[in-house]
Amino acid sequence: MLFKFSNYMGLLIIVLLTITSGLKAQPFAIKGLVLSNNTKKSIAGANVLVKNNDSIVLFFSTTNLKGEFTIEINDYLQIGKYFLEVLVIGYLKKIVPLSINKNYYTIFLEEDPKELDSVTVKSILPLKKRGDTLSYLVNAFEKNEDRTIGDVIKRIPGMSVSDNGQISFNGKPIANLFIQGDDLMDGRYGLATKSINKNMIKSIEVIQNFQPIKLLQNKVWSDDVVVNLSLKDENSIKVAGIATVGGGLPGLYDTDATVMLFNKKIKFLNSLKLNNRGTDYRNEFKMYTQEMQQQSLNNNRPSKLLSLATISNPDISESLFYNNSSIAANLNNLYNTKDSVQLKTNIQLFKDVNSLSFANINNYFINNDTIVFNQFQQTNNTTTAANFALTINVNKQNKYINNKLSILLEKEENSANLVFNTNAFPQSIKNRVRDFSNDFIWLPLLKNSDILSIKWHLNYLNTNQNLFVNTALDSTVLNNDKSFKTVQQSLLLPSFFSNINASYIIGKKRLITQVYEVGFISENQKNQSSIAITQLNNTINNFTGDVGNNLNWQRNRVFGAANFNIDKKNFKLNAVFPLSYQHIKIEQQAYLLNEVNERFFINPSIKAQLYVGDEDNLELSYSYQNNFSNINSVFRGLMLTNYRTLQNNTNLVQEMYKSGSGVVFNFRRALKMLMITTGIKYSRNTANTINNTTLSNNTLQTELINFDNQQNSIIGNAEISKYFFKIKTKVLAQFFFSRNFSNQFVNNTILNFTNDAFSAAFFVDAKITEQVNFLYTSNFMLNTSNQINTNKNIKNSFQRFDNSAVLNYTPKNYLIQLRANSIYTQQASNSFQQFFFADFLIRRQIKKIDFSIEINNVLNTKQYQLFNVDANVSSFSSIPLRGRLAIAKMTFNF
Amino acid sequence: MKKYWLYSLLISFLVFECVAQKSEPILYAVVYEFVHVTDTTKPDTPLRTKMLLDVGKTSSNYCNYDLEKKIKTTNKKNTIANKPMGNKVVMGSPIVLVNSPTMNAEHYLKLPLENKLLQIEPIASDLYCVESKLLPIKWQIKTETKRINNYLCQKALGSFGGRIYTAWFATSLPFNHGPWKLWGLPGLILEATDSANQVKFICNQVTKGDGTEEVNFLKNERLIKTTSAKLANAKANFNNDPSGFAKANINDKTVNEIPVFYQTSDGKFIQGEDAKKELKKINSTLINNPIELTKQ
Repeated sequence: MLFKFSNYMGLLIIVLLTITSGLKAQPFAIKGLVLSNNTKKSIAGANVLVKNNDSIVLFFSTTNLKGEFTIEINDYLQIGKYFLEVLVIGYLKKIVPLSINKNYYTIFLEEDPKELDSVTVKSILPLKKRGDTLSYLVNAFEKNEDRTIGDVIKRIPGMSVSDNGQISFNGKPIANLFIQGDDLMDGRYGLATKSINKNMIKSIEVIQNFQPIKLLQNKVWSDDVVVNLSLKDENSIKVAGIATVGGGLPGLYDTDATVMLFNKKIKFLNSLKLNNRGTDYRNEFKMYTQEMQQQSLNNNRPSKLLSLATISNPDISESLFYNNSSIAANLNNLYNTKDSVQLKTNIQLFKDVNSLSFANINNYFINNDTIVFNQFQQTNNTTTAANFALTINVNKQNKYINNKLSILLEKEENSANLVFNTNAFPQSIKNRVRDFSNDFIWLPLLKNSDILSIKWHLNYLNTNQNLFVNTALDSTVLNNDKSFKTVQQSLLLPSFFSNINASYIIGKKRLITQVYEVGFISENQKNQSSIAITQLNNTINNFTGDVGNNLNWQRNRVFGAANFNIDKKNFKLNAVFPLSYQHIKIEQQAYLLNEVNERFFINPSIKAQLYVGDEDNLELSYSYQNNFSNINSVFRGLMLTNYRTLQNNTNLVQEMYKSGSGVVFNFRRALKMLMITTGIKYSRNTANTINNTTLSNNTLQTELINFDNQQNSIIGNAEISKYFFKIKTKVLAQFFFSRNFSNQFVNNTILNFTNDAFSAAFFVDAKITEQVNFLYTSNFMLNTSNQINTNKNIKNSFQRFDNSAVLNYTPKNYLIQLRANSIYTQQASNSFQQFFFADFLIRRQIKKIDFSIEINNVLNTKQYQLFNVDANVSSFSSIPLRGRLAIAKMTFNF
Repeated sequence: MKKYWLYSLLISFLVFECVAQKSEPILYAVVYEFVHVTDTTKPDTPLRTKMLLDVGKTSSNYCNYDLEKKIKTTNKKNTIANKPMGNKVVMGSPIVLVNSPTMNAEHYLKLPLENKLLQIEPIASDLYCVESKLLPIKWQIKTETKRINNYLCQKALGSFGGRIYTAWFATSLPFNHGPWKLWGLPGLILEATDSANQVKFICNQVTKGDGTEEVNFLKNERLIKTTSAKLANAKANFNNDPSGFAKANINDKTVNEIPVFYQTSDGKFIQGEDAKKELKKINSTLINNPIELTKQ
């Protein structure tokens, strides 16, 4: 009872208090509206003060979005002594006396031009972009065991470095590597990544939207990502270097010396290397950008047609199988003059001798028959190559000129002892490539902010191939059923290409960036080939079935393209609409071939990225392409492309229409440490030709013929990654599925196939202690090929299961690494195969010298086998391995 | 037909984008000395931080002065050093940076016209944003005046977060803003002290902006919206294992270690064992007296 009463008591007190305070306050409110005198529009956020004569604020309010205000005044009796002061930035202060009879005030403010224009002090903080520059300070990422800049780059989040020195950022290869802004290596930066000492470099900068041309800076943004190595001392005159002496068992050597100097004026990086432990220097000379460049120029260079029919490199570490002795020199020299003129030479010299032996079985399934090609080869290959490039560059605020002349000379002499089905015979091939190109770029400065750029690319490529086969596998076609001794196929493939184009970029920053381009392409290719047959009586005559090839291909194209770009926070769009008119003429009088192919076409491509949440985005893409082949698909005369394959064509120009569309969804919850990416892609290819393959017991004859050939493929993939805090472990799972519909035309029958590929990968990265790190990768793959248009279901499949583990232990000044790898493969009918590999590495650092011992293939695995399935072919290869290799190395850094 | 559908979808997003953005230049920048007794058992060693308030016509942004200045000078240095490279945007995933408590990287963006307070905080490589209502403070205006940095200021009393603040505002700076979450007076708040003398904001510099910089410089950044509880939890996780936190958010399995850096109060960076020691200190530091005693 008492309890209840106290409750009521409290309520009573509150009520009483409210009443008394109400009586005391005498509330009085003045209201009003604040407007601009110039625009008569209301002003929001203006401070309205009630002040007394001493200029003390007594009451106040702020105008709302409509410019209205309400001020409650307690002692309204005093109001006649008060005045209203209205203040807002950008307007002059206004003072209005208050009156007891008035409770609504409309106040007009005059604009104060001074207030906004006056520049006194620069703001304390010009902070536009949160710079991530700190992240690239070399000492931020380096570990004691790191030596070269490549070791450090590997540690930068989002970056990876492949074994040959190629750098990728977020999975995409970078466009180039610069040293203090200079492209010293001319795109072949692999050597730089692997030999520049980390101590010479102050910071590594990953630059997106890189623009090396001064004239275009602030105007044109490119999509390229480049890495710039910023020097610790740009006036250094100290020649630095790295030298390694290494030797091992059985009879191994691995030695190199690199000297370098980097300063503002002169930069050089010159190296000499030799080894026989399975390192292929070709990778270092790779110009990572060249392939892309030729493609974007639309230079359809004819590839080599003749070969020894060897297998491609197996998918295991090169040092396991590559039996070589190689020597290479790489000379890069650059000189900057005072007036922004740069001279640069890049020279690579290379010689490689290697041998490879392998056994390889190809099964071709044709209706009720299986044709087996069984070969064993022992090859000896010698390659000599020289590459020279001279670049002159003028890069000023008002002018940009760049001219690069490059010459590549290459000579390959490969020979093999071969057992094919039941025949044993030798064969050899000689290839000679001469490749000259000149690139010219000129950018004049225009008076408005727009940009004009003129580019001219010239290329002359001459491939000369000679294939000798010391047997007569197929005398039916080649020699009217008469036996013969040997056959020689010679081929000359000269190709001339010119692309001159001008682009106009509307430089003013607008919502949509526009680029317009016009250009002219002229391409001339020739195919001159003949077959010489040595008869049993040693007389030599040409193949009599046809007159060989003396084919002329001329392609001219006029093109124009419009490129639109939108880059907003939540939305990005890039659309390209290239329009082309193309005229192709193919001609060889002997075959009464005189054809013209004239086309007008558009190859649109659209890409968009859309943010659908704070962290999630959707990528959409669509493209349609008209592709045309080069001279290699139209030659009429029969060609022996390898000892068992004969090829010619009856079709006209090969045309391919390719449309593709895709959706990718990126889901991320940073706070939950969860990331999911899933995507689906569909593409449809239509070609007007198909390869008509005729298989006999010893030969494969292909003929490209006119045919409406459609191929479709659908690809789906998903990736999930999650980090577990408590055990400091990252787990990642990837799934991939693809289905591909294709046609084969074999022995005059059309066969339809579906190829299915499924793969699942699992990855764990665990930090066990500060010094112990464990990585584990597991990958399962299943490939199935299905022939769908026969009653009898021909099905082929194989599966593969890979597991690999890496354990790193890094006590002070040491690196101890253990790698283990197992590969398990099984083909439907065959029994399974299993391979184990293990490597061991120990490295010790003492001041400027590194000592290391590496043992590759510790388990001394001597044989490797691999399977593959594709449409109606299943293949099996077996390669002998080098076995256990042990090498000790001493590396001096100076 | 399919294509047109796609175009129209894209265009509609585009139009939406254009309308959504507004910019406001910085008109004034005020530097405060922020003093906070975080541990009442050690009242003589309060946390002292230099803070900055950027004020625009209607909005304001409150953040750490030293940290921002540091970023600015680093940016400047880099542009000079790499002159031949010219203009560029440097991107990439950062190292993990743990700031000393005096280099806290929070931003408080006050938007009174929208009645919004955005608390923005970078953790590892992401920017998180907690959006809440801008809480009104009932100020009692007093007649006392004094000069702070040559600006005539008047006194006002108000309570916020369980503390009663004495604030000094300058009507000649006609903005409703102030340091941290304090606002709502008819002039910029140049000084505020709580009644227990445990939290102080004292202005020591007022500068005019040149109108080229924007208050909401993060408007073009992607902000991850979250709640203050989740943000606090993430922060605790981050301090506990900064390297792991950063690694979890990087989509590249080739990365196996992200180094941790610690930024000291004088802006120096330390790493390795020294950084770990500092990190331990942070995780063991006692905060028994938060700035907000009660949640509003």
